[in-house]
Amino acid sequence: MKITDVKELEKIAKQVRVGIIEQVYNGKSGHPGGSLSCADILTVLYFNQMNINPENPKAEARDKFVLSKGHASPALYSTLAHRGFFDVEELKTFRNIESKLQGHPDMNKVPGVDMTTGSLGQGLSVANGMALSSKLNSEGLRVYCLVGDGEIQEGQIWEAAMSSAHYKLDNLCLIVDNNNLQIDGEVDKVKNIYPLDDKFRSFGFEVIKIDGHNISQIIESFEKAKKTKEKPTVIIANTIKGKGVSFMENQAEWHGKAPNDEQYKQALEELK
Amino acid sequence: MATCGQIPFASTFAMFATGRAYDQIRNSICYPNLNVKICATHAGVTVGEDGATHQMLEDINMMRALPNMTVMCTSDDLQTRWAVKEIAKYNGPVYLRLCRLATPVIYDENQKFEIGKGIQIGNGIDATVIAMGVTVSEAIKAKEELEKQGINIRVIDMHTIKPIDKYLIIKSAKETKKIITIEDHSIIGGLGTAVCEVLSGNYPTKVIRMGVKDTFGKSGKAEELLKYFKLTSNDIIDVCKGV
Repeated sequence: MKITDVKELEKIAKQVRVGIIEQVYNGKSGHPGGSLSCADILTVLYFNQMNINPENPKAEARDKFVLSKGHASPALYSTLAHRGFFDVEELKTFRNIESKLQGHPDMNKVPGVDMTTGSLGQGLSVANGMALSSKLNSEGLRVYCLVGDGEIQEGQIWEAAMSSAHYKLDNLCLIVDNNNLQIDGEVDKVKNIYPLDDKFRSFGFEVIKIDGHNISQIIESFEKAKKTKEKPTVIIANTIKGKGVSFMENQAEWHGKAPNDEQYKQALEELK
Repeated sequence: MATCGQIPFASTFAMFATGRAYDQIRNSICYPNLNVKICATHAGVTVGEDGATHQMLEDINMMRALPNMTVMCTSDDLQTRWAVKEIAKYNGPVYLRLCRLATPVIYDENQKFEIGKGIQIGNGIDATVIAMGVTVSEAIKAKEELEKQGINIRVIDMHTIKPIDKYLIIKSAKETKKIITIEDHSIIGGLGTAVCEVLSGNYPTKVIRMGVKDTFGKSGKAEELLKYFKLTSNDIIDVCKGV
């Protein structure tokens, strides 16, 4: 199943966002802001780009995705559920004691999750290993890794970035969810990471900058990444934290907070 | 790479393989139960001249505490060759602790090794000395010297610290008068602690733990440091005699 119609993908992204709100509201905790900001990117990956099969989540010849910013688990779970990896109704069990939907993604519990994440800064290293393994076995698979902009303050990201370029991992595509907000406020005020494009270029990456909520631009950037040879690609996706729910947009306080009954109703209303 | 069916073997100094990478080992290897082998060298004070910053004394403690992790520490060349091949066949995370010091060959080709099964050397009933890694050959030297003096001890080479050989520990506690543990590692959380955990719940026995006593290492020659931290055959002899 590959959906190419932009309007259709936008509709799915909206459903993914509804799923995010359902999880965080029912789980009474979780991270809505950074989940909403990457909903469009995940929608394009799972509905347009990646070679995956919900009927056979562990198929050997499949593309891989690592959600390095594991706290955006509601976005990944909602995307996987809507893609058919498990029942959408199950999203309401998020973070419950009997749920497989852990606070942060667990590859041994949730079908479709390719790597267990949560401790920030480690995802790109794992994605490197996946990309390298695919090259060693001549499998021709693509590996995607999404990091948060706050997350790349972690030193391990830059150690891993050196490896991505050193091993010429052109089957690796890194995406930075660049919403410029982290738990403590604006990323450039907490600890400035910019200019990101120059940094990644000097680390040996092909750099593509896009509007991370523009479905057409997201698709184009992934297509361009596929054509890049001999080096990894990073897509710097400018996004809005809390995108789609007016009172959550650009508010650091919605990094890790659940909506109350009234806010929940309003959020769903806005996402109709 | 382990998520894609490869078997990664990672190796560096024990200091950095466990201390610096603890969070990665915990969250990206042990929690997802990935098939990764960490074979760390230069463990313990026997690193020698490099001093405290390079002498890892808490690695067994940290690695043992991680669910899904198997923890091993081999005592000679043959056992190490066996362990490396064996852990490649075993599915799951493994920490294999190795030292820098050249150590005597203890075993011959006929020796059988099994993950999780300690090796009993001798049948003496005066004391059991449970050792791992570099201290095994010291314990064997002590055993031979004590025999000349009419004291008969047995040595257990506990090459697998987790899962530990409970059966052999309890059996030895029942059959011998004293239990002594010795390790080139902190006495907090290592082999000695693991032995105490087994005995306290099954056959409460006094255990004398020889090891580095809640302090950092220091520079010096490996042999000098073994003496300084009281980890030699002579120190074992003293403890066995109750000195």
